Amino acid sequence: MGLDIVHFLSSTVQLERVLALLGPSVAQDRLHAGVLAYHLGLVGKQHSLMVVLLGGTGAGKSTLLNRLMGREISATSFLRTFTTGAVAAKSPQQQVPEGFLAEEHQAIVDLPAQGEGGALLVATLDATPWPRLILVDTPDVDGDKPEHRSEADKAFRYADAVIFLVTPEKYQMTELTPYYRMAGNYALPALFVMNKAEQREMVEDYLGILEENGHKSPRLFAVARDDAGYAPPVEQSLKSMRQALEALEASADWENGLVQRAKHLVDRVKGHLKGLDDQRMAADRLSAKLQELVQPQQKMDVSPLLRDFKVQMRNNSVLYLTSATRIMDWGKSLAKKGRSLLLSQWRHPQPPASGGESDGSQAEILEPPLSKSLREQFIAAQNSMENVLLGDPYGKKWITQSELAYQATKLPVEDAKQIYQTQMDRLQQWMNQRRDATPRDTEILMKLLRLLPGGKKLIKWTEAAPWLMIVILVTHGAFFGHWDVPLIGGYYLFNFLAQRFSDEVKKRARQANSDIEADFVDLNLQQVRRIVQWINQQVPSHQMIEQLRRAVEDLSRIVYGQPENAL
Amino acid sequence: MTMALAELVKQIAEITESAVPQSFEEDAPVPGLDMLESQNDEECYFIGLIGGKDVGKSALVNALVGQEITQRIGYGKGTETVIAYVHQSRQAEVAQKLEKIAPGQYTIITHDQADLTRQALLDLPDIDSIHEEHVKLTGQMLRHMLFPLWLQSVEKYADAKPRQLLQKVAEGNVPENFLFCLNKADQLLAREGQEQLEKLRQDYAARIQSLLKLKAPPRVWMISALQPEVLDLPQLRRVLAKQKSVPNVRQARQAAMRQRHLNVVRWADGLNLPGRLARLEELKRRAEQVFDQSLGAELLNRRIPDLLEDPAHRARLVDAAMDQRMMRWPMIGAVQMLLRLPLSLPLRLVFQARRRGVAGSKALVKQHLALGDMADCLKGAIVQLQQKDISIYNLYGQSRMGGEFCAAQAAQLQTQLSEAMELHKEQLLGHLLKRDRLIYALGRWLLTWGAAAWFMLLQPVMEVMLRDSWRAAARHIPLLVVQAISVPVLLSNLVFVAIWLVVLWVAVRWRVHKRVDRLVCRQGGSIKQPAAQAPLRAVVENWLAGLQAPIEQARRHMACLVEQVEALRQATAESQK
Repeated sequence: MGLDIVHFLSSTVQLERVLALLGPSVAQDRLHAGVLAYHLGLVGKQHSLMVVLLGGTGAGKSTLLNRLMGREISATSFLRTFTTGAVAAKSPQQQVPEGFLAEEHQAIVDLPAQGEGGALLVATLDATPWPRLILVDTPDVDGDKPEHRSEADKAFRYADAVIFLVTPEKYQMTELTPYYRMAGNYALPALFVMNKAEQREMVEDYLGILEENGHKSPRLFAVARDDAGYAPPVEQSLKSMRQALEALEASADWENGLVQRAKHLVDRVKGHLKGLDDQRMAADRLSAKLQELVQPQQKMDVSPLLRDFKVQMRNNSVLYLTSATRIMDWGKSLAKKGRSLLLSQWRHPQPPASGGESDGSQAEILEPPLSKSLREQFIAAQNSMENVLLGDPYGKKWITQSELAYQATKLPVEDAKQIYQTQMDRLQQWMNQRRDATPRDTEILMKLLRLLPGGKKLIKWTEAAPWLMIVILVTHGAFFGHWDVPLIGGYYLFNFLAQRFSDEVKKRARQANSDIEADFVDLNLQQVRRIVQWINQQVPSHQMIEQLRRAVEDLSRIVYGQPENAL
Repeated sequence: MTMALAELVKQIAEITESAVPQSFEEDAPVPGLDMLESQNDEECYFIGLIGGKDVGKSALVNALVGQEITQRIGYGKGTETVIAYVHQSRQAEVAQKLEKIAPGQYTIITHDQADLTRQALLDLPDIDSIHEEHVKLTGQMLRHMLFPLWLQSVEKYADAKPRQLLQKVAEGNVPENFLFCLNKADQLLAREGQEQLEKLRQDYAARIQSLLKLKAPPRVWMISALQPEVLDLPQLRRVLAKQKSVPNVRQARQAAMRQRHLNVVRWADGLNLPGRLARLEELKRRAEQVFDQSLGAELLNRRIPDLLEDPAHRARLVDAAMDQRMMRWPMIGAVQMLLRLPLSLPLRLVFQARRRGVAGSKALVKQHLALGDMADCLKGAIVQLQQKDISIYNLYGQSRMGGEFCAAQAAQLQTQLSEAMELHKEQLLGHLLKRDRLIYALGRWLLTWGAAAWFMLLQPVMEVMLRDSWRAAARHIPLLVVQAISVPVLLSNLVFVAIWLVVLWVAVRWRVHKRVDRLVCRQGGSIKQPAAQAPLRAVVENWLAGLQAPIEQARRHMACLVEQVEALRQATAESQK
């Protein structure tokens, strides 16, 4: 098939780059992308075939390598999990392809070598039996050290050909099964060796297992255990294995194998992408939900705090002084006094205020209700935000993942109190300014009155106005004839309306209310923003995901032919 | 105790929302609790060979027994079933047991060695091959096996799979009950010599030691199943050729049980139960403080006194007492009836009572402790607590910020308070109307009927009789009687009697009023805390305590669990000595 290797390679490299940015959660994908890029980079180039030995502990990988090369290259021991890193053997003319294992290649002089985790040890021999091959010994795939397993896995993925090594005790091991299948899928030339073979039946049984795992006619060789009276048939002997190695070359299907690898990679990344999409969606959903929580639950109202001040201000206002409301208030206060006089005999003597309580509790009790309400509402808002997060499986996961960072996003509760304090200070300032100033309506009226003839006298008599009105009303008709009722009614209507419209205190209170509300919403918004920021740290951004999607889409188009609508 | 341990684990897992320890999972390969708890000393115990494919389990069984009882196959599936080597007298017992564990998957081979009656040697399938059913069967058997024999080969001893299984089993059994054998040692001996063999033994022992965190490396038997006469095998045979004594088996059981206990204790330690308990205690303290400050202070210092001070409440008491009192007075009852209506209006004005001066207890309580108001107060307190610990969210019902909970609690407080007030009223009334003597009744008759008779008839008649000679009087009296039922005299007399009755009514009311006053505020109680407050205070305090109930409940549960874990730890430590 006409495969555009250059395009294939570049999109794989791009995918690897994006995966690298996404951090440790996709480390495995990144490794696979790196492997694919390595293999693609070598397509069409002359290079030595890297043949990797793969098997369990004690299968005799190092021993077989030494035996094949005829030299002690990799150190062997009866102690298990002895080899700790990959060891390659090459002749001076050969080159280990650059980027193999994505590790440092260290040349070694002292043989035999035990291997070194995280590096490829390269032994350069004077001559090797197979000038086209480089044999690589690896750590075990089934031992008790996880780092050995990952090292062996990596070596397998970078390999150009593989030799599976088992023993009678281990040929049924489950750890190798996935590798058998992968070798078949990836068109990886594979040789199978049963070391320490004792019986023909075992070798045949192994053959059966290989066939079950997709190897139709595996090239299986047997090495008999030293003391066993079993000699493998010629076609399974070590000698024919040497010949097989001689003839070993990259499969004709190699490129297809690479496409298979890419397909697996694409499928894996798409699976991850789905997870990332889900997380991203959860993050967006949570952010949206949090935004809904910024409105205060209760209305703020400072007007009770301004009641005394309002009464005070009223006494300066001409409109009030000349209004009937004043008479009514006077009557009301009289009634109040009478009532309290009446009630006083019902009351118990009040207990004297006790001074023995602790200061802390006193302070808490003395906290102004509005400030307390603000604080409580802010706490409530924070709690409901937390509840929203905890109510979502992803949110819960993130919180357990980075508890500390999450706790740091919480704003101190005292900030809510601060809002109240600031607004109250402003209000106080305003009150101080206005306390001694003449109300605006009075000023205007005074000016108007002064324009009238005898205005100054009128000003002096303004306070008596309501009483005069009452006199006029009571002596109905004596002064203005039948016009007195509509006249006085009109006057009071005007007075009432004017008072309503020029109520400065009410206006100021309304402004203070909306200011407090706005500040509170601001504070909540700030809190939400901090949490959203924290959420965004937990999940890659849209852009990142989109980039990954594009990269994987690109690769998918190459290996699957056409773009999939599913994405 | 078995149930108690499993139950304890379940409860801890539930309260901490964490998973149970591995050894308590459904099919964990550890000795089952029922087996460990068994008191039947005559029961067979199992020694089973646990090992990977082709390590030589069957060969070792044969070597131990001294005859070929199970087939050695190095290829294919190998041993697929349990092969039990038991004394002939125990065949039925073991068969029954195995039938329960692995129906149809066992073979029993009998012997007649008298000193091996209670021991059953088992050959088992491998634990690491591609045949999953083998692994499952061995896992099943491990649940009933007190003495596993871990068999590894020179080649396989560092494999990950047996290691994982050993770790799992060790969670519920002690290493003292294990035997560790390394088979095929002869291969190495032939090649490398005795010295290296010792090195290998040390390597394997060190691996087991680090895995099981032992103080000293365990004994590893280096054997060769195919050569029963060399290395450690003869010794091993001697060890296994004699059954363990009853006390030994019992001890092994206890040790395994202790291991399970220890496992639970360690798991519980990892969950930091005391820390959780401390947090709950802190939360409780805090809750007490918050409730006392934000609700208790408000209720006890302001609302309750206000409620009792409410003139409407007093008027209600006085009215009720008056109603009762008036029943005893002749004639004045009518005045009471007549005066009630005109009086209700001014009373309403003065007391601002919504309904006819005498509002019901419920209405009064509602007026002073509005539902929404209380619920908000409570909500505020809970929100403050939540700030301290978000888990409060779970304790107070799942509703968001305990909204429903608050409303329900506030309603409950209202009902309880009005009930208490009603009760209090009844008590007061009972107190007020307690005594009624004949002399009082006589006085009442005199003051009412007597007065009426006196003013309307007796007084004018007697006046005439005293003023005039009795003859003139005799003439006058009928006249007077006639006059007395004339309209103007009747009217004026009636008006006077009415005034008299009203005065009496006022006097009675005043007295009742005074007595109520005295009873309500000065009876027994100090001036700071009037007696009437006591029952209401009790209600409020009860209610406040009730608010903490969910926390208290959780705390008590946690404390109980901590105690049990502690007891378990102590028991384990003691039995270790």
